[in-house]
Amino acid sequence: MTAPLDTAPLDDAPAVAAAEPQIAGRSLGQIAWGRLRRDKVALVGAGMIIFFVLVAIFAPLLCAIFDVDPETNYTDQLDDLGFPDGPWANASWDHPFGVEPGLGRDIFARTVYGARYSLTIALLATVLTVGLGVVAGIIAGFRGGWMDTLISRSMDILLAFPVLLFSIAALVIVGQAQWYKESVLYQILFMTFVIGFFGWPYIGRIIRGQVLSLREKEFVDAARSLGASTNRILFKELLPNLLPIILVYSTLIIPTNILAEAALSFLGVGLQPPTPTWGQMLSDSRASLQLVPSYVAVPGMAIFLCVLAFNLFGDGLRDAFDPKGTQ
Amino acid sequence: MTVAPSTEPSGAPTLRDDALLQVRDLKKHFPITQGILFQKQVGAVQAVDGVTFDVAERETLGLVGESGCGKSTAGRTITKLIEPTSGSIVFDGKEISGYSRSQMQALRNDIQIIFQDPYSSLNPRHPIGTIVGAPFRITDSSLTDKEIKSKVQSLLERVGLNPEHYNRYPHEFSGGQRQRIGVARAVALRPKLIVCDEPVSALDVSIQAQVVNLLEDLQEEFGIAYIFVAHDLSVVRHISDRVAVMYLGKIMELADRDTLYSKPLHPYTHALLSAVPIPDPDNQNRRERILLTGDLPSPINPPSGCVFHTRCFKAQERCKLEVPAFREVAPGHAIACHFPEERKPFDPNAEGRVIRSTMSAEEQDQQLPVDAHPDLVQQAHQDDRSQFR
Repeated sequence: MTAPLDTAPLDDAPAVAAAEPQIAGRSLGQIAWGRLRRDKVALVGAGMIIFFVLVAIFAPLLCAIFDVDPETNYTDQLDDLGFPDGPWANASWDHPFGVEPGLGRDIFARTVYGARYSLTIALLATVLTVGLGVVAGIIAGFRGGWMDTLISRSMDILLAFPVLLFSIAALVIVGQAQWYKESVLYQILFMTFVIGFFGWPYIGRIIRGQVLSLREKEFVDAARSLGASTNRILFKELLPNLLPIILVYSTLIIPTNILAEAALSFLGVGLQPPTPTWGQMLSDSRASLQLVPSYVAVPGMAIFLCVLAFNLFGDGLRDAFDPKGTQ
Repeated sequence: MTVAPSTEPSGAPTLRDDALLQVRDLKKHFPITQGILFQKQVGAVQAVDGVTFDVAERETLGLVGESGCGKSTAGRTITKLIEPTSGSIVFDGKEISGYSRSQMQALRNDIQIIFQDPYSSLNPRHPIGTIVGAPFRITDSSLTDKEIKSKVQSLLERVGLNPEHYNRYPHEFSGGQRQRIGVARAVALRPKLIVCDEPVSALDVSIQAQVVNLLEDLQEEFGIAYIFVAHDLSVVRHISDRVAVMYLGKIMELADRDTLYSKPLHPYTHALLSAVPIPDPDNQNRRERILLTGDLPSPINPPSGCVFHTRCFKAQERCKLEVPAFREVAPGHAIACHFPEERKPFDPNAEGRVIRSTMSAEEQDQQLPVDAHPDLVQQAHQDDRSQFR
């Protein structure tokens, strides 16, 4: 190129400008949304999620329609031995899913209210996990040095922590207190802590790795050379690049948390009776599994469908944000 | 400035006190640390080891050298993206080498940088209106969105982009267009100095010419001085007023463009120029070719004396022992060599002569440091970056 360089015509002056008066750029988020809308499986998942959320929100209304209550003992539905007085747990228009053996509480009402508690705990735990993980991951990745060492080693320790044993032991101590037994709110907060707190190292590691690679990108140097503050770099430059990961991880961790809540309730470490949760209902139904098999099916299906819905939607979301995916 | 005789020790070569940017003995050593809790420094990557040059207003200084010679580090140190280890950087009469981040804030309008990779230098999540508008948003909070938009659109038009593309995202543009966006962002605040860190290395040859021409036009219009870091000697020859040749963190030769390309004195410059292809096979085959053997020595443990002596075809005993002073041998022409010699770079009568380093392979191996492990270099780099966050 020792020859003089002639001014070549611009390679990139697009001729479409005149034809298209409004050129709206599509952000990566908008492209992902476009892909998601064409993903039928993900849309089915989203529809099921919306259904479960609506059920949880309108639980009192649904119960009022059938005139049932989750904590009333409908003993008139039971026979002399305390079993439902008919097949399918004595299901009828008054009690759509029948009543439970022993106490005679309405299964439909308990399932609908169970959605409330299960989803609330799963969502709160997810918020806690993701919040802690993102903050810790960003700090570890961006600051580096001893801060990174401290946070990364804490993650390792937490990952090796026996969560199940800890939560059982903690409930044995906390569960005896009167204030705990009486307050559903405290019970929810306790469950949120047990499920959510120990999960943050997983997303923390993912975020840390992302920040490590992002902070070396030249657009961060560019922002710094413009005099941008650290806050601006973190929240305006880095965070938008982390959002898809956070979003996808959140939707995929919710079903895990639903299962964790069910498992803890099944073991008797969850919300205390008579507050209904799906895991607790599963646990109760075990005793009469052979005589009233339909009792176990209802909370079981609820857990199954809810977890499936979040997983389908989360997978679709991940595919939609995948840069290698087709438009 | 009068002609300094070649025997004069060190002295200040080609320095003008009125220059926009005066860099004196600038050093950047990345520390290498070991240990988990109690880290101790076990060495340093001497990426930039004492460079001295000036840049006048509206002038372009080319900075060339092979990979790893510290040219990019030198450029970034001047913008203070990397803190210098020692030395002085005087910009516009102010000593900025010790400036803190908040002190630098006032100078951000005046010193800007254009990056090599147009793909990683633009945030993929921001539309280009936000990217090019960022300089205004950060430096002047009194501007309204509408004012910023009109400023950004006129900038986009100035660099040859459609202002209607304000709302588009970086992934919708080609490499050349992206580099234009990077240029628009750099010139937004009308800086006096722009460090161009290999701005065209990642581009197609045809696009390179456009971007180089754009940079030249902007220089004329806004009166910008450039430090143009590159390894392509032809591009540097085209755009630069003066050229500095770097090797292993030091400047080997600094001269105005025509002198450097027609009458180079340093053996390393000779070797570099003999590697530039000539677009004529006959001349290409007949010209003298200087082959440098061996690898670039490690900057962790640079050779003694002249850093180039391990690969120099003229190296003698003195070169191993004595560091050659960077001195002016003619007005505006400074070199660091004990045995400068004028040699025609494109000699068609050379009959295809090939010159090799006189040093044997064993001798070169001895010169190579044992601890030049790439992991250490990488780690040193990261450690250093984390310090100023």
